Amino acid sequence: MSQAPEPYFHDAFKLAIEIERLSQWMETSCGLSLAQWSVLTRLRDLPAATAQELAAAVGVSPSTLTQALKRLERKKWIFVGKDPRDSRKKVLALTREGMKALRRAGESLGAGGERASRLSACAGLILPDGKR
Amino acid sequence: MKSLFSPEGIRMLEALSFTDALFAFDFDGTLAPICDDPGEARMAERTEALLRELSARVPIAIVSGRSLADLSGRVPVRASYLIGNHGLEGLPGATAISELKSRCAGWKAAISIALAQEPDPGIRLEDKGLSLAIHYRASRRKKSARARILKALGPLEEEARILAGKQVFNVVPVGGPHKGMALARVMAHSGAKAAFFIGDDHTDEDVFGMPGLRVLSVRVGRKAGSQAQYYIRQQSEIDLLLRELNGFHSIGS
Repeated sequence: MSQAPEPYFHDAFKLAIEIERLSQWMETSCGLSLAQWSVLTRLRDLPAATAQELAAAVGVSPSTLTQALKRLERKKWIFVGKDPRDSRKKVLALTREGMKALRRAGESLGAGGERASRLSACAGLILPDGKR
Repeated sequence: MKSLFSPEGIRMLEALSFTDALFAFDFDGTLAPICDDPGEARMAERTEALLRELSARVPIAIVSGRSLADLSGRVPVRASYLIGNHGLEGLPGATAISELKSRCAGWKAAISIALAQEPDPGIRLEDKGLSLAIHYRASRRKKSARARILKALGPLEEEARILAGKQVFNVVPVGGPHKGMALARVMAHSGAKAAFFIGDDHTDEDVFGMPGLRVLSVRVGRKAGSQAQYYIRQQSEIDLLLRELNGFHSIGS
């Protein structure tokens, strides 16, 4: 039975820590976490998306996204409305406040650029093209 | 279908201003009021000024059933895209197809002969080069005019797509591009991530119902069964809509 290559898992853990640090830095410096920033930027370009469409764009399952969306809605950064074609369905859109939050974040992101750039290079090595 | 001027509709409209969006408009019945004589259709001065203001801020497209030559003369505003003949003319990278022109000429001859058998001075056949429009707005006996036109169009069913509009029948080639495909092509060409489209007619359903397009769709006039997401009540509300769009884009800029 082959042994799991432990060093790889240590590296993966270190990467997870680095990502968490970047997210914490973003939350402190930019006012929103890495996950929130990712959801908001995707939604900015997908106005009136359903939760399923947004989840696919972000690369997570709809159930994973649910809590994040609730937090963003509480902050009034996103708007959840009824699909005008089918009132049983919900559609999402960025609000003016959400756009302001993204703009403020954009002004501060530069300082974390080097760290994000290194992590992005790692992502390029491990993610298939379609997932980037 | 919801009112575009409802709080939800306005928020969705505003959300479009946050991304790279294309703003597309039908012409007759949308930017310009419907006229008894289609040759008289013009944008109101105020509409034209508001559209000009918008075109300076965002890419705009006019997608019409009119021929491109006809449409160009009616849109003095510099639009990023002018698409005529229901998508057959003006698409980036596309050229008029001579085979389509000769097919259209054949239809014109056949329809003219059929209509001449029981002439109605209120029926007018418009040749748009790549498609035809048969108007009956000026007919005094609209029901009978409609039946007469449909009878004349009957033999063309296999090679032509008959699109019923507001007191007009449009005859376009089967399998040819339509407004929905035209908007998709223009979106791809412009790099727009989303689009806005407003139209009033049956042919605009090709945009409203186009699957996979990220388009906020609006119909002029509420109509059961329409695929559009939102509606404005009447053509005269176009100025209010353009004012809203200009407002969002001045905030965003």
